[in-house]
Amino acid sequence: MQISNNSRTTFLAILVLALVASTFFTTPAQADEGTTGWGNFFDADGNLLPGVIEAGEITQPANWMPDFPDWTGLSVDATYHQYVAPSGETILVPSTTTLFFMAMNPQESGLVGANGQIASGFGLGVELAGQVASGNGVNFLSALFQNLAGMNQVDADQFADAAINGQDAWSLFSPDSDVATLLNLFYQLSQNDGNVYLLALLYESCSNSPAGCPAELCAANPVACGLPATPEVEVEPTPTEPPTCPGPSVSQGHPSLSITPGDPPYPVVVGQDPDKRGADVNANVSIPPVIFTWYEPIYEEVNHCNALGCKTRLEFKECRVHHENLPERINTVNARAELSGESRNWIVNDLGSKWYGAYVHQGSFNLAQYGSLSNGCDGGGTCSATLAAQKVPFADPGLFNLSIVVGTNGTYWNGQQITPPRVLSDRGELKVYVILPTLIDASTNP
Amino acid sequence: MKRKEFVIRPKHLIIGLLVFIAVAILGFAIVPQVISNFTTPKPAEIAAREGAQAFLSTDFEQGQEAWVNNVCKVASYEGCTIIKQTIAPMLWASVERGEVRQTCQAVQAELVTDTPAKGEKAHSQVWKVTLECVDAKTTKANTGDVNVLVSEHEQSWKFDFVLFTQEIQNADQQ
Repeated sequence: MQISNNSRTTFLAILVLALVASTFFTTPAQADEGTTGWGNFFDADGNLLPGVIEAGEITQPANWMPDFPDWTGLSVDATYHQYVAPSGETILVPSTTTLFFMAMNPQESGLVGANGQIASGFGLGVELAGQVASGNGVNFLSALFQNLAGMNQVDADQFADAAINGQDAWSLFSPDSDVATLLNLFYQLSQNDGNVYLLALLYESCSNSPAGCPAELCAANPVACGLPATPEVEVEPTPTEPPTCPGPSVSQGHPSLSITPGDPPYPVVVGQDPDKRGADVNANVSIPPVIFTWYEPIYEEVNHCNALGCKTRLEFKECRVHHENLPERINTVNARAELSGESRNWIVNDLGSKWYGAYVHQGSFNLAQYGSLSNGCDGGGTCSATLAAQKVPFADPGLFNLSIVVGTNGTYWNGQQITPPRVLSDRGELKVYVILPTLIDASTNP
Repeated sequence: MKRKEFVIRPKHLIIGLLVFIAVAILGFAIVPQVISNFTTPKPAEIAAREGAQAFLSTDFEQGQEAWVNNVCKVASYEGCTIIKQTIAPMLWASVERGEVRQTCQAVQAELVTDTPAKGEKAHSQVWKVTLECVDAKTTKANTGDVNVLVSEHEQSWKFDFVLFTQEIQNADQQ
């Protein structure tokens, strides 16, 4: 089946309908404002209603169309433009040639409606069936032949009689009115008059129309196609399509830690300092926030219309990106001063040889006991800790290794851990001096 | 018994020779023309043969337009118009459906009807053309007849149309 769409056909069908209805029929078409007939296909502006299937131009084999000898492998298909309403009602606009051969075979082609359903009135429209059923069929076909083929009234009447009575209408062709001449005439008429000789046909059901029912309609509404109804089944809600957004990502900034000596620049062991000044030590920790990036799928409501009506469904639209600044909180701070091993040895061995009984007084201690600790996070998610140890009484001379070790909680978002807890550390040094008296042999000096 | 004597004189020989020469000249000049008139296809027949060949030689791969162009090369204006506008759209679907690829050659033609010009209607003839069509895929040959309508336009015969089966039957009944 070959399908092509012609956007003008919609309006053409209405135009044709009006022309044919006013030209061919002695009884005016009956308008029906209800829900049947042409109102099922077009709105007042001539636009297709939602759910109407425009099958486009379809060609299909038909045994009532003329043919070439079988051995040629060639046949001539019937051609229509087809519209099908959700209920199965069908509009067919046959091509001029197709219509002519439909008229030659009104029963087989479905022109007058098969199986006796011709009594149905379809309201506004071309009531071919009604015309034939009410005895006007001969008049109708006669007018059709006369207009399509340019026959005289006598020939047209004979032709219509033969067609209606099921006789071989081909036998009425006179030797000098061959079909080729008629086909040429159709083409001329169609060209000159813009296809006004087409006819729009309305069928109560697509299953009764010569073009049959489109598969799309039968799938959606089997009853409209004359098929048994599909049993109602509990339809599970259609799961929304999985988002096609990227996965989340984590960006962790570099923390800064420092532990440095403060005043005085050259601290002396408190045992030799009459002011017992000691030394200051400052420790600082700053941890930038963890940047957690995630994408939110955005859905929108979309109306989907088919033969059964319209439904609203959520459809994926876009990904909305979110950046979360997650604070990595500090839970422990440990700052210590540790006298180096070399200094310990020097005190015990070198200094001890000069000052009897010299020993290490306080080689390792917690600096936090000499200062105040502040810890917290700002609004931007940066967490910091500051220790200002003041006047730390260093009692031993030498090199002190300063260290700061902090522990964090990690980061969480909506109760879900984004980054694990971690331990951060840094080191520094502080020298503590000692005053040693030296004996100098003054006699050697000049 | 009486004896007859035939005396051939020189002038009889000369007359006889002249008669022989005249007969020979006539024989060589007229007989081939007469034979030719019985054997050479007439223009109308050629138009029918060429039209039938072009009309039935279809290739679904080359497409409808190529087929129409081939037919229109040998068709009258009216025939080309009908085929292009009316027949081709309705016929080509069957070619594609059957994936028909065949080349046809006319092997015989026989005049069926001769309709003189009448009013605006041109002088037309119907020829029964026998063709041999070879399937391009299977190389299987198929032979059959079609009735072809040709018409005369400005002393030139052109192909119009291959008649439908129903038209042939109608003509046979009449």
